[in-house]
Amino acid sequence: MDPVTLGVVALMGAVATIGGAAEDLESDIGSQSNPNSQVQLAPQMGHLHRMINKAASGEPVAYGVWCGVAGAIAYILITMFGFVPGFPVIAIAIGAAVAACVHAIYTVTSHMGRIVGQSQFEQPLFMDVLTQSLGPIVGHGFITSFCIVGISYLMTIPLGASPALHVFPLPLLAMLWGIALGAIGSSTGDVHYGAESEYQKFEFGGGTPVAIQGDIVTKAPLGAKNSMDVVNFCAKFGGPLTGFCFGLVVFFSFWNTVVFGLYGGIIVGIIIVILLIIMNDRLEVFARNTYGPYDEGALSESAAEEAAEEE
Amino acid sequence: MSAGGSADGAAAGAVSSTMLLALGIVGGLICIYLGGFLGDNGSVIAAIGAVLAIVWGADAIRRVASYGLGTGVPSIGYMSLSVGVISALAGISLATLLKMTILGPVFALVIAIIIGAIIAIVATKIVGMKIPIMLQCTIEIAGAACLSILAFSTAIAGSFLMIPIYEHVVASGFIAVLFIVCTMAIQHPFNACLGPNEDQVRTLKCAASTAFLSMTLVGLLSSISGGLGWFIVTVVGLIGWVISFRAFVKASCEDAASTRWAGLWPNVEE
Repeated sequence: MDPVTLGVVALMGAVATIGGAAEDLESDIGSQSNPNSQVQLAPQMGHLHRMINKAASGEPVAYGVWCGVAGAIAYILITMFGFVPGFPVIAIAIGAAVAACVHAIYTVTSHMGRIVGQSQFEQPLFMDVLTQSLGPIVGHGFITSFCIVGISYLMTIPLGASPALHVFPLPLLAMLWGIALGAIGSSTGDVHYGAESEYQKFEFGGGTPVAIQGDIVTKAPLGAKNSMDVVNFCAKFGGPLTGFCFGLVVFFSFWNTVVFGLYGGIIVGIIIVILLIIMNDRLEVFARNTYGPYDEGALSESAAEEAAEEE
Repeated sequence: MSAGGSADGAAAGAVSSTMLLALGIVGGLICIYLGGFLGDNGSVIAAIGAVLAIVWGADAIRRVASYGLGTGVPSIGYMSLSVGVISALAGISLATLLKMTILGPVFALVIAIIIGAIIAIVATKIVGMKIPIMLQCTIEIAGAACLSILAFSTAIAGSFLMIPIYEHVVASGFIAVLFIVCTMAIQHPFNACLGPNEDQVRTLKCAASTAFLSMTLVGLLSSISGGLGWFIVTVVGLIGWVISFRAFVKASCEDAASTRWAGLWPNVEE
């Protein structure tokens, strides 16, 4: 076990946590991933709205693009000027800035395209919604690309006495980790995404079945509900949780092999996965039984009450 | 999913899909060959070939996705682009093995068509997807993907031969970036514009803007192989992007129910 490598692995986990949190919040502002089709359906359901509808594909492809572009630009700059001490950090920031520009352009085209695609339902194209949300979307995207390219870069350089953690070139690693982050943001983040905010009139724990899709809340305590309200709601729990999940994924991808060696690491990895499966199952069963609408006793009671009212 | 369908069910359009297909295949191949023969100075021509291929691919996505693919729009793009990467590399490698390097791009296109056809047959016969134009469209998207990847690779490496492409595009990891950037450029236009009021011309304007944006990025990436070709690619890509993006934004503002800078939505009877 090399303490320098272990320290860098811990740093990567911390950086990935920040990146993961920013990624989930970005997708919540943009109604990307799972809620996007539902915001898309809102005008058809008679709910005109002031939400962003950023459907730049699913999160995995989108984050593959932003992180891949940032990684490629950083790679070129490091190849050219890497001899300057400390330059890689600047190169990664420049790469993330270029990726942020690409992100902004795709956001504009997807929001405008989707809103105009609903014009027969009289859904107006609110330009102020777009300009207000563009900054937070691109800002969170920048943080994410910077973190992902940062951890990818740490994988490609030799650490202390150890060789590099990975042999792949930087752009390839950045794209792969971008896709991984998008997938985690889409799966973990979606459970705690803006749906609780957008569908707050429905009972918690029931999910968003097809029958209620598009039936969103469009008004806030003051004025129209917008995408900023959704991200304020998600920043308390959904974003940090997604970051925590991605940070653990990055940390456990390397920690076990760094500490226990190759074969020991595989065995420890399998044990961790089994423990996580058991913990997830216990937690979900507990949450559904305690908070969800799946309490059979309560359901039968309310059914009996309804029957009594009808009589 | 109702959001996936355009107003007229199958995709009718103002621009003939046959013309886009011909432009994509013939234009794409000619640009790859010209770009390859001219070396570093031909990068911009090769990149324009990729733009033609991407616009063709976006139109093919639009036709197949109009049958209600919905969230499957990015998926079919993803799948076809993986075919594109495999066939582009297999094509130029096969041409080198057979000592007919001049035929590399054609081999790549043929391999893409074959793999695309196999995937489409599996999707319709085994998986049981009931989309009548699945076969034709999957082949078209795979072909467009292959040509766009190969054209951008030619622009970066300055040649469509195996060795320079492996050296400048595969070893540096740019192939992964090309894969994901072309996936986005091909699937995004229809995915972004879908809805009952989707319009082919507006979608194609969006396709041109995503294609030129990718070309700009490829221009930046091709600076790694030296020369000044990358600068021309970047500038031409930027100019093309500004023109097509302005056209898309203008068309969107005109076609919107109303364009507002403040206020609430109008009262509409539910």
